[in-house]
Amino acid sequence: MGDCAHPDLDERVRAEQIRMVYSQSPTTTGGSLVGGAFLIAVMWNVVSHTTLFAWGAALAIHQAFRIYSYRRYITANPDVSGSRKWGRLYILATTVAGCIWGSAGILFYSPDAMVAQVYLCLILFAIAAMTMPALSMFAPAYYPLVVLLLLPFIVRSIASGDAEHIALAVPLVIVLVMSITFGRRINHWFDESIRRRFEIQALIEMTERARLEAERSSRAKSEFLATMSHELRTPLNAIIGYSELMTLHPEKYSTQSAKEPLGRILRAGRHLLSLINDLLDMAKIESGKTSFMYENVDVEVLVRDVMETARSLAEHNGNTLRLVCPAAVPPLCTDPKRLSQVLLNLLSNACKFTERGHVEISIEQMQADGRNWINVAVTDTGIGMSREQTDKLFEDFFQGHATTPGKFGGTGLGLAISRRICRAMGGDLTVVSEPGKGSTFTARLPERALDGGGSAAEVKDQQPVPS
Amino acid sequence: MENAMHTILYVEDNEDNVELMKTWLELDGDIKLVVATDGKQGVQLASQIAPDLVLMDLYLPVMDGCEAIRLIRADSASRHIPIIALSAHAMSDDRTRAYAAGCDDFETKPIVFTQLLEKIRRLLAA
Repeated sequence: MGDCAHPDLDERVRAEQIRMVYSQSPTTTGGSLVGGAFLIAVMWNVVSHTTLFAWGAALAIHQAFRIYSYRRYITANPDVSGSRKWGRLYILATTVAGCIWGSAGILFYSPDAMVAQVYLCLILFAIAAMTMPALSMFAPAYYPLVVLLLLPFIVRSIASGDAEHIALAVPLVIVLVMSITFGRRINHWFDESIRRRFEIQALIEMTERARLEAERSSRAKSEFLATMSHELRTPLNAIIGYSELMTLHPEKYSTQSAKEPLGRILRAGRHLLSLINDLLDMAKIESGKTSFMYENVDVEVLVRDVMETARSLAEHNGNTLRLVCPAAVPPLCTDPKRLSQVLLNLLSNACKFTERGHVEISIEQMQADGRNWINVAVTDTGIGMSREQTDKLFEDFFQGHATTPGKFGGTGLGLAISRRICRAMGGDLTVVSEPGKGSTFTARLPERALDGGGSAAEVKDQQPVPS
Repeated sequence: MENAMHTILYVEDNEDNVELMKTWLELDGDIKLVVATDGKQGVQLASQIAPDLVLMDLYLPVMDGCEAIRLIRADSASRHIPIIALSAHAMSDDRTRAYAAGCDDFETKPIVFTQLLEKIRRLLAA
């Protein structure tokens, strides 16, 4: 896995490293101040007090600044992208710390006081050793500090040419080399473990999302089954109830008077059949078993055909039917049977819920998301719907106006099926409506349904994939 | 036999179901069926005409059947009236909800009318 494989993950790992070094800040400051105080005490009779005060003051001011920035960081609690600038601030702070400690190697250099010199070496040794667990997880802050801390003393000691002093530099050279070698390795381990932690977290979140989605879909299926059972039982009530009645009391019915209950049985039976057909249709689309037969279609011709089918229904309620179509519509690559089914559903709904009004179909071309779309909109001047109704309109079995299913007919599945068809073809079906004014249903379809809109199975329908 | 006449209030929004119930209940000639098409109307009629029995569908516009049963039970003019709840939802907890709301009996659709009539007779005689 390359470093650039997950830019997001890299950023998050970096932010986590920054969080870790900041969390060590109070401890390193404590260690630094104690070490500094000890060094000043050791050097008290060796180095001029002015130098000691100046150095001590620089260390104290710097550590005060670090505590200040630590508190600011805790308050700011920056997110991943906000962490960058805090990281830069930390690098600056450790670089300055490296300079202050490194300067001790030069300022406190005392060739005549060997004991003090050994203490100086020991303290630099200790600071370098302490730095590894405290800072190595954030490499850009760690390396400058270690190098700036040790190098001046090493160079100064070697430059003196004195064998004893060169001997003092040797352990610090070893520490320097080891710090960088081990530091790199520890940094790598930290990096890996943080990375794994995030990956595991992401996996857990993904599994959790999948579980919730599965639960939701299982609940939806149970609800669908319950509603379906309700919908199937309602016409059965009439069928069984009237049949029972006529079987138990045949004497009450003449050939003539039997017509009325028989008509109700017939109507309920037909309703039951259309429910079952719609259910099967929906199950097929849902399971992806419907094959869409795509071909290039002249939308205007298709719409006119559907309008002819719906004409008697429109006239029944005294509605006028009208087509608005631009001069030249490019051919639409779609499944004509399925599109007709959707448009017939929309048209018959419009005609059902409009009386002595207008139903208009308009065809429109548009561009969105870098693709060409064809919108077929059905607008009526009918009873319209409230926001609550349109929100639920595409749900299975929802019947916006059906307090009495007999009044407007239909199974309550038409729009749910139509939307599924439009979506399966890479488009969508939407509605805008106002109570009392009317509704507009828009089927939005990609000009070429196969341009990534259809699933692999659908593509197979037209262009068999060689195996 | 004007005294033997029973009034039953049927709260139901499906026209087919109403017609069917009417035909069945009027077979014997001693039951008069009054119909309400939503829950709210059902509650009002139960209080106003004080029928001998209420048949309550649970899925109704305006006010849900269970809520209507609760309101009928809360009104002193109608709280004594026996109620039979009807539902086409066989898979849900309708039965439990209806009994909790205060109905006396429960029938699942499709209704077995001979069985329902027996229950009605029993409740009217009580």
